[in-house]
Amino acid sequence: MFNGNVINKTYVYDGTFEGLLSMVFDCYIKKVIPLRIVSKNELEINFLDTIEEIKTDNIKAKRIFDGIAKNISYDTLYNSYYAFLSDGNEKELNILKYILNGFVIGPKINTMLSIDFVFAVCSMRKRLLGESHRFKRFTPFF
Amino acid sequence: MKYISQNIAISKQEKSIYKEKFVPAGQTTQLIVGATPETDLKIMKLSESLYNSLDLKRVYYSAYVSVNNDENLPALEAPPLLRENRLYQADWLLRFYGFKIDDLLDESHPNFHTLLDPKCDWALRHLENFPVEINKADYNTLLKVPGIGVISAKRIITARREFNLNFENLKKLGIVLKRARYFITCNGKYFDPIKSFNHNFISENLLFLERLSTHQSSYVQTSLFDTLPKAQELSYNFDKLLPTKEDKQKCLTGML
Repeated sequence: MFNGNVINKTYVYDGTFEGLLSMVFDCYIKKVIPLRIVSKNELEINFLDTIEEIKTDNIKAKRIFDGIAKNISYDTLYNSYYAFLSDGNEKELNILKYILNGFVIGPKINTMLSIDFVFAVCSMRKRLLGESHRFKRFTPFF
Repeated sequence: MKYISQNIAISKQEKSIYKEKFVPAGQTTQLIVGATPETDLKIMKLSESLYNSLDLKRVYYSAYVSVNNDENLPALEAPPLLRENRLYQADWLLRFYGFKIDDLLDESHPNFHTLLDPKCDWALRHLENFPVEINKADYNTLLKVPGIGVISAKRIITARREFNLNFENLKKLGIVLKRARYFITCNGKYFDPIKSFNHNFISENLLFLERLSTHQSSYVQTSLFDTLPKAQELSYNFDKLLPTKEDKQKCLTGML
């Protein structure tokens, strides 16, 4: 498993998949896992959280993107992208943990369904695809 | 029907030559249940033979609904919907779970249980195959556990490649333990509250659950005036509240 310290910070990213991937890069280098991740437009400022903004860097994102495809599997890439598109609960944190552990464990991560974040990501993907399928079957009636 | 199934088989072979399949959706049929005194065993035997010999896609069952009253027609109070449901459940067991109809029913009990589904009923009669160890059993054995379906069985098989599963993991995987918990073990352990593995204990618990669910399903249409007591009840209560003659006497004698 990925051994990173859980730090008491809220990471803010710009709401794009590239932004999330560059945050994965930063977390991988620093070996940390934030307590919460929020996108910029959902941010609500309060006194308790220390906020750190992550800048979107396309080069970092590309490196992580290629790294997932090369070192983990295409399935992981699809899982994390579809989970990102869905509206799951704490989707960013689950994706972050999923990818970081994926780099340590390798392609086997997809079969480890008894880990809760892996199962969360897989079920988010399944729900998203089901919903989009239902919409596509529904539109011909109009 | 034979003609269609033969032609489907031929067109499967000729698929490389011709593009269009013969009857591409396959063939189906429908059985009306409840109008004639056939047992479930007979009906299921028929559909099993249809699946085996004619390679049907599906057999549909529909409960007989009496529309006209005539002395030649059977008189039913209500269409046998529960029986229809049980037949569909058994049909799925035939097609996806590797059951044969001789396992599910026999001459001594030719009809399905009204309170338990066919798979549960089968499992209770064949307790020698249980309990099943979740971490070791193969796919076909997992499928025969009541409460575990195709999706759950596949999920268990992928999940247990890396870790040993316990009951908490099963819950997380979305496997319904309502019925399955009586028939499985994880790492050699039963589900927590289950103390004994015998026929009576399991069947009592399962039937109790079923009855509980039937009791709760008596829904009533709510209305705005439900909270107000009805006029009759009100007057009745009012009479009770007022002291009667006897009460007055009791007061005087000191009994109240």
